[in-house]
Amino acid sequence: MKIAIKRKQSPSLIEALPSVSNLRDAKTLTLLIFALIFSTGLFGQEIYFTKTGTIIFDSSTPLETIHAENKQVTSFLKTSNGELNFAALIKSFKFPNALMEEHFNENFIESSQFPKAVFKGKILNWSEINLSKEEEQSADIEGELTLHGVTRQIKAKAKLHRQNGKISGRSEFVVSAEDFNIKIPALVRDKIAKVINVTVDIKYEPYKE
Amino acid sequence: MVVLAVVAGGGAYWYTFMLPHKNMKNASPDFKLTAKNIFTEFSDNEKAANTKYLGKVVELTGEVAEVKNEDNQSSIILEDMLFGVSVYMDSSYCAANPEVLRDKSKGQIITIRGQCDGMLNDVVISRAVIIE
Repeated sequence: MKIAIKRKQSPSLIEALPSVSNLRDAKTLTLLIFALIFSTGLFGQEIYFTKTGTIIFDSSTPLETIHAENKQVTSFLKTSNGELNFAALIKSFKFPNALMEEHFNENFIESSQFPKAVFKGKILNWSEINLSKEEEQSADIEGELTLHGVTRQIKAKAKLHRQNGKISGRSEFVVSAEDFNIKIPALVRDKIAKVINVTVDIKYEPYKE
Repeated sequence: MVVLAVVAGGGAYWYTFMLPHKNMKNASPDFKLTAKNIFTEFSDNEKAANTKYLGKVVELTGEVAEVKNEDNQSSIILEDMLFGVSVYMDSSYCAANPEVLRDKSKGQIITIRGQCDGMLNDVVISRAVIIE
């Protein structure tokens, strides 16, 4: 009896093997394995994500209000190790004033040449942050900001807290235009601050397809 | 003389501080194509696509994947949630035409017009209006 069962099983195994060597099936198999790896990650909700984060910058002086908002910032936060990254399109920074927006894009930040701003970094004190609590947590962030084709190390403080399964974060920091090789024409030098106040406002959702 | 100076000054002031943004409803598009094609162009050669489309007025036709209304920002995602086109609507246009988004839903084929900002995960269009 036992032998008979074995014989019954083995042909189907042999049949199965060559079919994997078929390219299309191999592809399906790889996809399946990837899907499995990914889905286990998703159960732990390791990655939090947004496509609609906000970055506001302000270079106002008493002479002129210079203020722009970008509400289409993409950002990922990896909750296994506190790694995070941001990407923003320069052209998505919207000014109330059309001419100012044009000058910003063409004369200062040269967005056709450098269309993106990117930040890659991590939360240094991630191990101390407990997002299962609802109360606000303080984060120290450090990483590399690439803007106008120049990459610089920056540091910032942020406030994080969990709210209805989302993680919201807010940070304010200052960057210097000079550090990123952004030249302010002499004509408007008095009207534009040399430092840029940046405010980041993010609501992360668990990443799911 | 005084009147002239005031008018000229006012004009210069208006030009500098009040110049409105391009009204997409009346703007003539620099390019007309499908949402799929613009995504493919960007993913095949982002640099070339940037040179061609960045800051330009584009008219795109594609299938609605999602309509979103949050924090005073309405958006429509065309073709695919991650590898498609994110269309951010002009806020004053949406305020004036609240019905335009209400009757848009997943699966519909629509045409929008807006400014191409470039590519993040997907292609980003801003200050958009719906053409049909």
